[in-house]
Amino acid sequence: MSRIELDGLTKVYGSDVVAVDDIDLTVKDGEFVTLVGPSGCGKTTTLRCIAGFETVTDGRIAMDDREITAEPPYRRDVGMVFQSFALFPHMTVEENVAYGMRVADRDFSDTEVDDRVTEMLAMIELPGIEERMPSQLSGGQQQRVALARALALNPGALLLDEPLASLDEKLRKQMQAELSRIQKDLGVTTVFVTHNQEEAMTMSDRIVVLNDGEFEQVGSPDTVYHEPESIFVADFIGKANVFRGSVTGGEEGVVDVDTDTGVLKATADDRLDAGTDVGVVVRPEGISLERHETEDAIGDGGTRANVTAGEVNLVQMLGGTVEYRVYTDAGTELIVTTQAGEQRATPIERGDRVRVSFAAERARALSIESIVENRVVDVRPEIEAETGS
Amino acid sequence: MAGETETETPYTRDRSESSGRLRGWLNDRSESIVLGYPLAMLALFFAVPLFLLIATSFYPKPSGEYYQVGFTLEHYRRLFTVPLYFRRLGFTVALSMATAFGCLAIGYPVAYTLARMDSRLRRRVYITTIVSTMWLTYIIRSYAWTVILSKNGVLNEFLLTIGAIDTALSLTPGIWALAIGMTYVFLPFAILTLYSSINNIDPELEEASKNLGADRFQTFRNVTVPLSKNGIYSAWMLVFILALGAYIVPRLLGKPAQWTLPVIIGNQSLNNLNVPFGAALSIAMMVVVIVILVAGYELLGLGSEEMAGAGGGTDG
Amino acid sequence: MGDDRLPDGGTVRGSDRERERTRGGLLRALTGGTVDLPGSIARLYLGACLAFIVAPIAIIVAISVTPEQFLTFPPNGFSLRWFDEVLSNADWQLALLNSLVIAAGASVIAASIGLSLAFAIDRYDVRYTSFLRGIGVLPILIPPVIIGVAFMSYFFLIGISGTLLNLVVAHGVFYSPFSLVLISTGLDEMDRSVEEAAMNLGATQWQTLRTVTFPIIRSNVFSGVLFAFILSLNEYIIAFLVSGFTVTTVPIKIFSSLRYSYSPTIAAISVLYIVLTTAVVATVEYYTGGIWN
Repeated sequence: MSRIELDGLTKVYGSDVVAVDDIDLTVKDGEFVTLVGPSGCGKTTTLRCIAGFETVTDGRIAMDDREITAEPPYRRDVGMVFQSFALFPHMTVEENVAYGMRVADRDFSDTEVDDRVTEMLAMIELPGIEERMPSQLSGGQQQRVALARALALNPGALLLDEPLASLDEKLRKQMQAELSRIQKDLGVTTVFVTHNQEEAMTMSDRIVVLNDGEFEQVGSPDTVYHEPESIFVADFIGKANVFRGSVTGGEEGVVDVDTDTGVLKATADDRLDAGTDVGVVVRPEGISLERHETEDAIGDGGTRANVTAGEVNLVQMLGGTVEYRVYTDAGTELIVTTQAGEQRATPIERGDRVRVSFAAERARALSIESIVENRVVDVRPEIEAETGS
Repeated sequence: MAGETETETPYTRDRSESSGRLRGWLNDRSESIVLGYPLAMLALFFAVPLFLLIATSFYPKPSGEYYQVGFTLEHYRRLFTVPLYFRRLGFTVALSMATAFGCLAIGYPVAYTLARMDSRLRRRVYITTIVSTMWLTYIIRSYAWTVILSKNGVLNEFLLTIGAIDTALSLTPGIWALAIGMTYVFLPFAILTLYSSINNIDPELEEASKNLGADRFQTFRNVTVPLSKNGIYSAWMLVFILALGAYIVPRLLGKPAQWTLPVIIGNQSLNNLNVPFGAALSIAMMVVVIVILVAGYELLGLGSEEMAGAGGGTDG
Repeated sequence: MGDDRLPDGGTVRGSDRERERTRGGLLRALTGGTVDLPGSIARLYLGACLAFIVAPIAIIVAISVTPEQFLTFPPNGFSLRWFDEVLSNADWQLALLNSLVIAAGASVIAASIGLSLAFAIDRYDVRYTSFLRGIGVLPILIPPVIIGVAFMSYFFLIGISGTLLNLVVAHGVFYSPFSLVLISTGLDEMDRSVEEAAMNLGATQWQTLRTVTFPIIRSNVFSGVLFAFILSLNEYIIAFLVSGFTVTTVPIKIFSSLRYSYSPTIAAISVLYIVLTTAVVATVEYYTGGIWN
């Protein structure tokens, strides 16, 4: 397996449409790296540059120590699974999987080819479908065959271009697990492209969040989720509540932020001077709710530095968790999730008055400068669409 | 991977900016061949002959020769001053319009019934039949109508046998034979164009209309017809253009007084050996066709491909 | 037929048509069948129109097997003598051979023009794409008699006229738009990522074209060839004007024969043409899964 290095990779369409802007990334041998971001962020272009389908405007691409920037696609040692699967419609499954061996310069004997196809179909747990045509397969089966085809020649790296996007929810979950299993079994270096942050979270060793052709953050799923470096990342990865305001003071990594909801305390990595416009980001599970009259808090609020009141608008059971929408007295809607097990005698219901609180260490103040104005607070419906899928 | 051992071949990357499509595949030299060959063929055997036709229409025509290279406006003067040719043009346009309306009227219900037919097999058989007759030479199809409509033809025999008439009718050549023949040969083009258009209408839209209380006729008038409007325009236009160029049907089924402009062009060029005048008539006719095509394109937003895709002319 | 649907317009979804049909039948039985009157009219109308389309051709077939010298309908008996006469007549044989050779040559030229132009438009970042498409489909929009006169004087001018090759080129260029439109459609509808997949698996451009692209658009190319073939076979006016009275094709010979008589020989050769045309159209329909659908 191989290591992939992108060095100053830049792709400009036409004279001024910058799709990928000077990115550096090293994907380690055997690592599963996910490029995630909204459509048009440059993630697919990056992948297509690695595969050789796009001419690189500037920068270089190398696999191990071999530079492949100018190599044609057919001389790069990467296997790719396409969003549409791209199975050859006029060939059987066997012919699809064996295609790479058949067009290769090296002569593979018939037995070698047969054995390899059998082996690959066993790996994707679809033995015996050699003679079927792609049109006779279900979406999930097509996707597995596409994976088998891409891996049949033992490529140094595997590129996955939104391979799960066209599957329905249940199948997608199943294929996520399947893909992870196969990737770990083979230890193949993998670059995965998706717009679905949940997929990115569950499958990757490392996540690269892209926006407008540039990296917003690179890190493990845990880091990216819990320590987002920008409001964009906080928004895009998981659900987030954002309070806009400006810094009024603070010390030792904790700042006071004046917001519509009042003065909130939040942690800050960077030094934020008074007057800086920031967004205070709190994950839904970082907030606790308690009925106004009783004091039985649910969720872990920690030391409750930040408190406000509101009314529950919506309660949704989401399997293991319960999600509440709270309309605060200050006029913002908050998302709060709690573990379903934490039910108490009188459950909180729609219409209940609640007290909302969260600890300063659960809140992060992030500078707003880096982000386009309207992406900050008015993103709620978009986030729902993103996470709800 | 296999490709690594391959011998080095030059791979010129495209200068293209577009993504998603695999462009710049073949190198620049192959581009000049792949694009150059068809363009050369079309230039040499389409554009040049047409330009030459324009030139020919200005050549003098000495008696006893095809033409002489030179310049004269005589043919155009003749075209504009002899009323016969304008009358012929008028007749040709009127006949073509009538044919187009006739084909629409007969063809629409057929196309609709075909498009809403449940049995795929039956539909395939019907369509194959219609397409087959469409491509059959106009000569054979006109000949069939001659056989049916002639004095001792099938129709007269039948009518005489049942006693509907006492003496055989003289139908062909004649205006009715011509009208029937024109409608007959161009009907398949109308049916297929309308069929593709109606077939694209989601049947659920019609069901929704009925569900909202509209009866069959209201649904047809308010939903189906408006949604197939483009198909109606293209079918009309296609038949009209094809009928304008018709040569065989007027020649075989019409009296000499009903011969259309293409027949005159053919006669001038071949029988009278007056190629320059035939060319001038051709140019006049081309102008009419172009004006109609451009008007159709501008007014109705029809693409030329749409019409070529629907059929196109076989022969005159 | 569409009229088997719930007559009063139920809300049944299109995909449930099968079930709907049985219910429609039941409903019709319950209401005495009167509600489906428009359906019967539609069916009658379709039948009448199909009869209008097919009957003249059926009459030609009937005449071709009539034993007598003169056209009679219905025929008094059955005979294949006219077929024998046509096929053993040297003039008709030559005309048929000419027609087939011209059609074969024309279809190769038409397909080569259509294929290369379609690829050029599709593959290269050619500017003026729509202009090129327009040029490509233009020949079919011009009345054939004009093309015929243009070719006639062109060939006369360059001093090569009245050969088979003239007809081959004239038909080839005139019918190239069909190939262009069909192949362009095939390329447009093709999922591009299959080509990328092939190259990703190590296939060179040429291997990709040969093993993936061409097999996928094969039926379109094939249909284009057959279209040009069948159209050339049936074309009269261009052929007549370009032939310079020296090359005789079947349509030309039928036309000139019609001046003298309506002999059943013409019906016999027509039937051969009808069979040929129907066979080719049915093949195209089979290969493309119905291009009109």
